[in-house]
Amino acid sequence: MLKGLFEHRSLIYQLAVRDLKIRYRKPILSFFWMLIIPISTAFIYKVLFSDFMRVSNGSYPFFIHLLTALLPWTYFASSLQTATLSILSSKNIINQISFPKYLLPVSVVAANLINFLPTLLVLSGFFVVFHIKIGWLIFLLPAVILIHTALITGLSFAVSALQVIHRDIEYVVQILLTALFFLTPGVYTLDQLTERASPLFVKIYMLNPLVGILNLYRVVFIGQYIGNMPEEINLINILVVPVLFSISALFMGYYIFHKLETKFSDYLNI
Amino acid sequence: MHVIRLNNVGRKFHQFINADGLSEKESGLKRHVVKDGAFWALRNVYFNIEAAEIIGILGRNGSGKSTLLNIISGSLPLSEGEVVVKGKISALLTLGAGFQDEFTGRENIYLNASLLGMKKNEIDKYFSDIVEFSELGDFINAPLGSYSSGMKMRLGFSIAIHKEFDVLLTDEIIAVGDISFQKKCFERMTGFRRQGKSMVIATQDTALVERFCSRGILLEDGRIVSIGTPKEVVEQYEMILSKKKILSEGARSQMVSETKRWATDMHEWGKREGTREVIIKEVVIFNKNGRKTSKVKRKEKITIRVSFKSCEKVDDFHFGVALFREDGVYCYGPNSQFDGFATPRMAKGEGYFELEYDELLLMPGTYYFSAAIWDKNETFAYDYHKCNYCLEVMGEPVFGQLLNLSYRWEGPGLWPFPGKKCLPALDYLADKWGGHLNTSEASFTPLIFLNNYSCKNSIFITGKELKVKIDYKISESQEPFLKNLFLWVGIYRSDGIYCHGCVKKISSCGSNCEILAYPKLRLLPGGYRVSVGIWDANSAKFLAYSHGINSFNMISEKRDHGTVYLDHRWNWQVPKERED
Repeated sequence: MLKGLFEHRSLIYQLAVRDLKIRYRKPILSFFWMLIIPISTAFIYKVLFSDFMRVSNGSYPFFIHLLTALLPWTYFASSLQTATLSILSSKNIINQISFPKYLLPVSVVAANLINFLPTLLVLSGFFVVFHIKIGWLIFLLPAVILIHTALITGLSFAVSALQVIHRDIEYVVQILLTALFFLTPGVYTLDQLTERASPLFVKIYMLNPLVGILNLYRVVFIGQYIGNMPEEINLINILVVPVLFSISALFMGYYIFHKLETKFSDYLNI
Repeated sequence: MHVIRLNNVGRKFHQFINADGLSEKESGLKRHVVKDGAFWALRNVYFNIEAAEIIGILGRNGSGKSTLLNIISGSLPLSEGEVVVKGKISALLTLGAGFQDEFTGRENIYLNASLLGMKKNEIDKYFSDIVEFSELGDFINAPLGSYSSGMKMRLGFSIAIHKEFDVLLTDEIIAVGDISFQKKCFERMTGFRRQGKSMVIATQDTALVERFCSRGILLEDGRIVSIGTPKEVVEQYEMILSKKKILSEGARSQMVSETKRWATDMHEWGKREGTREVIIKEVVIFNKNGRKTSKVKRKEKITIRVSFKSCEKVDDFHFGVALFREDGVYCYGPNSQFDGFATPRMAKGEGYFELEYDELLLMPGTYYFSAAIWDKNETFAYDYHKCNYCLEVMGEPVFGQLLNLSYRWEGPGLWPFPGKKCLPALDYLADKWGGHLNTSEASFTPLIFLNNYSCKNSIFITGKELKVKIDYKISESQEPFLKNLFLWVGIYRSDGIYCHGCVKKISSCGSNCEILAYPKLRLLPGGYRVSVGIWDANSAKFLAYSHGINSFNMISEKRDHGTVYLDHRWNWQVPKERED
């Protein structure tokens, strides 16, 4: 598969660029929207949770806490949402041209990745504004993005193929995304969770790969984060769980996709 | 040296329960529907595409041409068999797939070409050629939405032919754009032929096939009917088309008018003969639920499945199943040759064939059937089981009738299901035609037969409508007995076999006119006679009758054996040929 991906890189690029162009060609602010949306969302959440509800965390501004969660989250959520419909919406291409179909969800993820990377630059800009040191671990950022992307790609394979067969998947994905959003430490902090929830829940909670990945982003970005981490975070749930999850998601997703691929032509036209 | 080899290729489409979307696709297409609700759009397709060969695929709409091309191009997965490709394929099946209206022509070239499998540097290399060939000029930087449909097609075509390929697949789309552009396309295609490229062209244009192609393939109903020189195949295609025309125009010169109607020799029933290159191993009947049985209900759907084993490679064979009533009356005996299927060659191994009847239009009784695998001319069977198998249609026999045809009486009035009470007790076999009895109580005038245009006629086509108009008179003196009186109509084969009879309650005295309609009269070619009578159920005698004085003839476009045409389908799976 990796060989196939490399071989078809120009097609993936074309498809990804198509997605982005369709998304940003017409609006006047075009490309800037992908920066404006997460930042403004972060701002809203900051006003709501930090200023009104007095959620706070000690060592670094809450706004940065929100932004480090929201940017990777947007990448995750919007990839999955668009990927779910990626096969279905390209049925005219699939039925008429012979090309590897798995490239469609891959290109969606690629488009969202291209979307995501510049936002990280803006994030670094905010670090300068808030006078926060970016840690030396920042050179591990590509690895973190790789783990994250692998997870997204695997899930995208699964949902895009399943959506063709069962058109309910789209809505299931929506609900799961909402649930997952509140199951990751974005709008609140880990300390607050551990204070209030039962220890068993916290243990299960920490096995959520997204929690691990989010923490990884914070570890590599925020200089002092690694020193002041909540004690629930350990090597297993921050690194091992996400890596294992990503790899197995990738293989399982591809397997599901491969299994269902032959049925597409039957189901696409009904 | 072949570029592409198709080995027993088949494609099954699944039908879904909510058939809203499918109904338009299905209607009017006769398909090979199998048990699980799927149908075969293409089956048992074998052929090779050699290097530098131009193949023309002919076939009517819905015969499976596009499915075949889509399968070769790889955009449609196979349900069975394999396609071995040794070369690059370019498919001109749908032009400009994936075109985005909001993108410029330039962007679309990159997008569409990458979808077709071209690399970035290839596209860069051919970009100016593509633009030039498409004659778009400066429009190339305008959004595609502003193009005319002809411009889009031209652009799509130009991109597709600039991909490097060994085999080009096209689907009736050489006719793109205006005449001068078409000329240019044709010239380009001729250029490809000179370069020794292979091509597969699906088309309706017989002139194109004869002029341009080196080999022709004729598809009908998802199967290959013939492969050969373009001339032969075109001739056969035109025959198929004209057959359809005969039916619509009513010309009858080539129609079949006589049918084999009896078992040749009933002493041989239960015997087997054959040269035994192929051996029939098992014959099973399945009912509509897929259960093995030998007893079925009236009008039930049944499937006869014959498993066989071939001991040698066999060419030019066909399958046959013949159904007889226990007294030797030939009910129906279709074979795959009559139905026009070219059967592929069969290798050593095991296989089966199935004959599926939608509705068994036979009256209750005991029937026997034969199963056979024949050689080309039906001279020596490979294996022939003569009436070794019994099939019982359950229910009470209805006075000697053979067939359970659907009919209706037009106009008001009761028409009871023909039971013992109201149906004249008649024999299986009628003799002495021409008897008639008109009394002062009741009398008949000659019958009138009408076709589906309500025109008077005496020749009818198998499977089309037949109406019988019956004028009769009953005197007022019969008024008190009216509730016991029935009008009876019986159809006989010219040799006396009672095929079908039905009754209607007589509602009033005086001059009456009734019309009996068979919406789809499925009698096979030959002569038929009609008898009518006024039956008094109380005293069990006819008040008046006319026996076999009126007659009509059935004709059909296709040869068959027996008495009644039953809608049926063939399915088969023969041992695959293993190459290399």
